[in-house]
Amino acid sequence: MIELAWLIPLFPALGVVINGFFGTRYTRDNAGHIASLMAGLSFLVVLGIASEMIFGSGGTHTIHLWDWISAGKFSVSIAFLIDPLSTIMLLVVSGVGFLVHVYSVGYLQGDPGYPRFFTYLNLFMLSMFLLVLGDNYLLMFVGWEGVGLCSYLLIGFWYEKKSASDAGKKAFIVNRIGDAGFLLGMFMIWILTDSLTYSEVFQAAPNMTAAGATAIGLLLFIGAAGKSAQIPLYVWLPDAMEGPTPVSALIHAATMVTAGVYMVARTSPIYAMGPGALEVIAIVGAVTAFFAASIGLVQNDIKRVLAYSTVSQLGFMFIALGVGAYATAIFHLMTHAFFKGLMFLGSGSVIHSLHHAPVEQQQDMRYMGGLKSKLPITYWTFVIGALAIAGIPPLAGFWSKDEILANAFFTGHYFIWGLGTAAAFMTAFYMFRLIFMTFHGEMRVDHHAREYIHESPYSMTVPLIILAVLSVVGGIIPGFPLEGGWIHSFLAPSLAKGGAGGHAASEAVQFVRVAVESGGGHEGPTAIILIILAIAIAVGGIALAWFMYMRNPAVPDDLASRFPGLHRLLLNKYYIDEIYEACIIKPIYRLMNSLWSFDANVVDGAVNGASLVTLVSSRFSGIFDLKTVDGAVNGIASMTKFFSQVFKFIQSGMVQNYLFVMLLGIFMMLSAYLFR
Amino acid sequence: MTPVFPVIHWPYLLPVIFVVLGAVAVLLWDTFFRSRDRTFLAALTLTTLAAAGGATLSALPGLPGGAVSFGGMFVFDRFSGFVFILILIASFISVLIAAAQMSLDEAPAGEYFALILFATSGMMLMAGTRNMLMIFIGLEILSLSLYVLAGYLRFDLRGNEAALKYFLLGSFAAGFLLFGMAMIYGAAGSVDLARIASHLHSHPLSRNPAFMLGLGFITVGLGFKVAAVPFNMWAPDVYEGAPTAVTAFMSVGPKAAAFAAFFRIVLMVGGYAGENFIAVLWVMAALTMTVGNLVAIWQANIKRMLAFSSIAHAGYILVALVAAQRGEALATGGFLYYLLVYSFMNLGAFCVVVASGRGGEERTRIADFAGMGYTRPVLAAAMAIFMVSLAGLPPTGGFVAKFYIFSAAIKAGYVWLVVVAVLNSVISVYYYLRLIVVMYMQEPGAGVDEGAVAGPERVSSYAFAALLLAVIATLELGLFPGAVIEFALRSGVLLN
Repeated sequence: MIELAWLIPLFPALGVVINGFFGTRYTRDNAGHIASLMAGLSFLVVLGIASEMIFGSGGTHTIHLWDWISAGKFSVSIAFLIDPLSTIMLLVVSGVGFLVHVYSVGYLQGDPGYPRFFTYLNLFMLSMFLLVLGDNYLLMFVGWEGVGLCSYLLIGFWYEKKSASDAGKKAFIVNRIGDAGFLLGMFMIWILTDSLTYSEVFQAAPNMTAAGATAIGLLLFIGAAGKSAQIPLYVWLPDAMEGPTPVSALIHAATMVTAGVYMVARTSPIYAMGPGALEVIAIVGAVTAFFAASIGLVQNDIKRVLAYSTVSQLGFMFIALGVGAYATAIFHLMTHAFFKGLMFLGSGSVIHSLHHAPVEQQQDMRYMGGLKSKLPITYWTFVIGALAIAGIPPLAGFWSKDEILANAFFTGHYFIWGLGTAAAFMTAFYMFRLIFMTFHGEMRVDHHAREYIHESPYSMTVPLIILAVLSVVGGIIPGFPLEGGWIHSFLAPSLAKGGAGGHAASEAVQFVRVAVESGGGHEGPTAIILIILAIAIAVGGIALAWFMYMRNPAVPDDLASRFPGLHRLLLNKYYIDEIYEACIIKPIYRLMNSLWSFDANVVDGAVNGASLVTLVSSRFSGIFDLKTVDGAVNGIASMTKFFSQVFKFIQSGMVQNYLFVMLLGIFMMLSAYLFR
Repeated sequence: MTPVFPVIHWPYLLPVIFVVLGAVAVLLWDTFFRSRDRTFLAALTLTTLAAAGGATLSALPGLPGGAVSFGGMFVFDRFSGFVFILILIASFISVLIAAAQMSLDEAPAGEYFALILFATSGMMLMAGTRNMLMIFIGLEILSLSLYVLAGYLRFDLRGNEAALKYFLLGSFAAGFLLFGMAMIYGAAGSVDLARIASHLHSHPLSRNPAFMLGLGFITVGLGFKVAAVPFNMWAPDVYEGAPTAVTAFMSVGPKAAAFAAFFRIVLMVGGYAGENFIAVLWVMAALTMTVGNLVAIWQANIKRMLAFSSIAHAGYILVALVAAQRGEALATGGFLYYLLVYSFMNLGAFCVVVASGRGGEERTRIADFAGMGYTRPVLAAAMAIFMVSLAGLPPTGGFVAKFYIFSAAIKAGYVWLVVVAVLNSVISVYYYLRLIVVMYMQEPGAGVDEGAVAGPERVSSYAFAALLLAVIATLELGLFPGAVIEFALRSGVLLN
């Protein structure tokens, strides 16, 4: 089965071809079924491979298709790598991807861009599979670019909406910054190891200098920060919610945004050599987790709350990576895909049911409330998702999040642990704020829309139920007991050991493990305190939300009026967009403009200036025969006049300017290299 | 005293001879059998080019290191062989594009195709010689043909403006080129690059100003032809004003020929100019990439955008030149591969511009492409592929080509230049993909008449053939580059 891995990307590729070429004319309303079938077939192949990997021999398998680029001893192949890490990623991508496909069949029914949507969605699956399956950085980059393109196309899917196409553009530009980092990192890897194939690179990694490894690690992390929305490149993700909700679930919560986490985990042997880079990753992750969670506290758009929550949770994953707990990061990636995918699809179900409300109210929680009885399946599955993310045991989020915080604590990153714990508290709060505002209390929906509110069709609720089940069991089955779960031993062959602080860190983790295991379960004294604290914080956050939004609804407004500055700061997302606008976009815009008008102003000015200088100097140098000089000046002037007359006829004929620039270039060039 | 006859390898001369004879035949046929139908003349031109290509290909196997005819005036080695094939392919596609351009219907066809063939012969002479005078003669044959072609639509004011501008600036640059050659002749006593090299080798003229100045002036002359900054100012105006088919031709073949000559000169004698000369090329490469890409972002006319894009691509190729100058074997092969890919993707993009015109009218505003993904799906899909390739994104040839050039530069130790180049190609993605967005994510604007909305218009069979060729090659060179890159690497070895 493993040697059939090439089938995984092939099916969505087929879907792209079918729907891309025949979508508008032939497949039309069946486009969704075809695309879902393709995603389903891929999922089946993945299941087959995964069962062989999990219950069979495991190990690392390379499926070599053909040599792609070769020059001398350097070569890159189109080859797929099946190992524990890629197996987990494949399961998440194809599983959630398939569910989202099915969900979209119902969600986008009747949209004029129906076949186009599924073409993009299949194209996304194809790219994501390439990203995960590639056995070298170059192929990963191919997939990386591909998912970026699809994300861009899907954010701007409703391109008639200006905000949507603007959001697409923003995502694209921000991601390009990240991609530049990835490319440069890739080049550095190639310079230092003469290869881009994982196995060869990682074999050479132990010989790297700490400086080299740190540089690679930081450059790659710029790429990861772009794709996985970390500070300072997170700004595109909240805006990306302009895309259709299934896209937000699949691309901007469950899969694509975790590509950066996957990439760092994949590169762990290099990061192990450059602990400085890991330290940066841990801090950026922790600050992002805290910062995004605080913005999520006051947002009113249901999808924006989830978006900031995603940024925050990605921050948690980077904390895990930064403290060297790679397996834990991948574990959280997986559980997050379940519960965040669930909640996004749930929010889509809510929005779907409010289809007849005014557009600006469809996503605004201030115009919801009391939907619990109308949307029972959506409500209950959503609650499960929220409990999972809040970290209530035994749901999925508890296991992975607790491991992250414990790892940060036991590696001595107390500050990061503090930020993470605070973020976890805020997470529990804003999630239940969302639930109480959306599903409880009195109904504030527009009167005309009320009668149309209805539970979504089966194609949408069944994926919700499946994801809810996964959110319940997806943590405890692979993750029990803490730090000693199956997922750790399964992933171990793919990942490097150790992390920030080098050996000390890995020893600390080892110590926790020993303490936990020798105590039989959860009996390490500090560990058990931490666990109780984590649960208390989750319950506390939920209770506070209940107090503020159910028990005493006046409190939020009261607080907002008592701390107007803080409230405004959070509501406006710390004004980061405005700061970027003022500090980066405007100056670049001005630079571009000035480059553009260089021709018109500077060159003209220089030419005019030159003639003016000639004129003036000729006037003042009265020693020379006035007539000669005058004659020369007149000659130049009349020649210019002649030329300008010639070129006035052909409008923009500034040939003299072009010549001037050329001459300037020649002089500069020659003086630079002749007389240096 | 017995006269010494120069050695002449006739079989290796055949490609050039075919092209020249074909040009004459086209002219004569047009004179005696004047008709408005371009089909036959186009077929004759295409056959000529194909025959020349066949002659080149059949001469390549079993080629000794290099065959020198006329005492160095004509050199046929693997390098010239590869460039010949490249130039012939570029001309072939250009002829197809010209045949597809409706607005050229009104103009006489005979001279047009003859001029393209003459220009082709000039390009081949530039690439296949190690004699500086021959380079100049080839360049002049090429340039004179191009001046006429640029203003080929005699009653089109913009075309006239372009031609005159090109002519004025071009003669200025040619003057520099010739002046530079004269100075080198004065310094080294020969116009033959091999002799110059051996003279410089035995008489190390360390920092001889005449030689240095000469090399500088040659850089100006050839830099003008490849539109390197700051000698690029003509390109956007001329590209915009000339008929699109001519622009397509101009943006590829002449650039390839000038670069081939540039490579030969720099690699044979540039090494004697020292570090400062490399520094000049380095700065020129960085400037050319950056200016080309930054200004391209702001263009509203697709021909101008492609003009600045081609300036930027000249910058990437200069990166290869810098690396090759350092003796990096990968660089020359990468350069040849890049040129090949560039020919296909750039010609393909221009072909789409030509084919999307309606009737005699050209549609060159970027806004005209709005919604083309739905009104002309085939053209839009092809354009999307070319844009992705020009942007250097996988899985297209543009990506692989860039990869080779940048790798070579890194190996040669120019990490910072590559950083500049990578950042530049990141910037360039913006304006290339913007066109895709316009085509697929915008409604057809007010500029589109009823016909476009009613149904897809047929793409002429010439344009279709050109597009098919370009699309297949762009993808093939991106997915299975193995055989071709090996060919390119072997062709580049001799020069290093």
